Amino acid sequence: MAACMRRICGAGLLKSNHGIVLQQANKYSSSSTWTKSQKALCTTAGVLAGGVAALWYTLDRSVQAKDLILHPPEQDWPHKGLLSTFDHASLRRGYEVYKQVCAACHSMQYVRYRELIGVTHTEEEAKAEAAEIMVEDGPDDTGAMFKRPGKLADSFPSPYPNEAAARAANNGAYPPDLSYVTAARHGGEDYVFALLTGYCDPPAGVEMQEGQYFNPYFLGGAIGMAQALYNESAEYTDGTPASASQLAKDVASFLRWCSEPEHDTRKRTGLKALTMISVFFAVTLFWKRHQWSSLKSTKIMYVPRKKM
Amino acid sequence: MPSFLISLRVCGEEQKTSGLEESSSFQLNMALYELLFKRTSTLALTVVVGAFVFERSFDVLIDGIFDKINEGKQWKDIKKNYET
Repeated sequence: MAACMRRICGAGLLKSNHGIVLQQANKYSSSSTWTKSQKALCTTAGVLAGGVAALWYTLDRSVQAKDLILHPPEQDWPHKGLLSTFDHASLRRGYEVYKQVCAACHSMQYVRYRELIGVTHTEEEAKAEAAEIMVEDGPDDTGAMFKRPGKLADSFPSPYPNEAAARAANNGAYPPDLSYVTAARHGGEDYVFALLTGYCDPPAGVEMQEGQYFNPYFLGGAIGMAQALYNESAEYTDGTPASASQLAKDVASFLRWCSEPEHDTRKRTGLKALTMISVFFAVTLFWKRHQWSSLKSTKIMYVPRKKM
Repeated sequence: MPSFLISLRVCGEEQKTSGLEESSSFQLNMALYELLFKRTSTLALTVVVGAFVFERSFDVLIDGIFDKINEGKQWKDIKKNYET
């Protein structure tokens, strides 16, 4: 293989010949007859226009004040980046927060206890978690429904039997199912974090109705959910100090995992795929030059036959 | 990939008469060609075995890099705290 590479480089197959191409293209360029000052003027105008456009774009992006909603700031998540997995200790704490706080009002009907195995809990722990809930099953031999402890195949419990019951219990506001909530909201886990930590007093002139709370990150500002996370409002089994922002970070990470359980595998496979693709790209580039080398180093002429 | 490249090179080398036959890499290539690439049966076997070896080593390499980047974050790094 080493000999192969030496021969490739020796043959100059991978060397570029931009210089010749540029010289040839210059013959047909309309700007080749310009004077020096004309070229300088043109260059200055181009740089200025590009700079103004870049500045405008940056300023426009940084403010986003034209919308009637406060956009969540981007946080530095442990799983941010092309190659970063979830912080699974954080996911485990996030499950504890979900169980102690969120599950009181929110359902999570598309996540099953078995999915916790190998992500946040061992199999025995997941079985114990599932056994804590009671699930309606049946019918039995007499046709009656009965309650049994949860199994690994059961989904997380729903606090209300249906949406109407949920609305009736929450002043008409429906607590959304949290299974895919970070995928369903603009900003994802940044939004969840900002919403959970963003409660504040309404600005002057904004009146909140009974059972409504002000949150600038919620569309319209009036949200039916009261602030749920305070310092020490949930307990961690691993001894992490349960500040409000820590609780919000962990539960937002956990909700992101719920809506994207394939996240870690996707990034691992992505690294493999990109590595292979870049190798194949180099091979393709070489192969193309190899195929064209005979043609590019040959001068083809048309010599008409002379009339006798 | 390398198989057909090398075999092509060998075809090219055979036409030349000067110098290259003595080089050790040429002799290695010829030996490989005679041993592996000349017959379809051994070529197919080479491809299958080569694919297996490559796949295994590539997976181990990339998984190692990925686990190094994410050291301490994945479940396999923390599960010792919870297994009895």
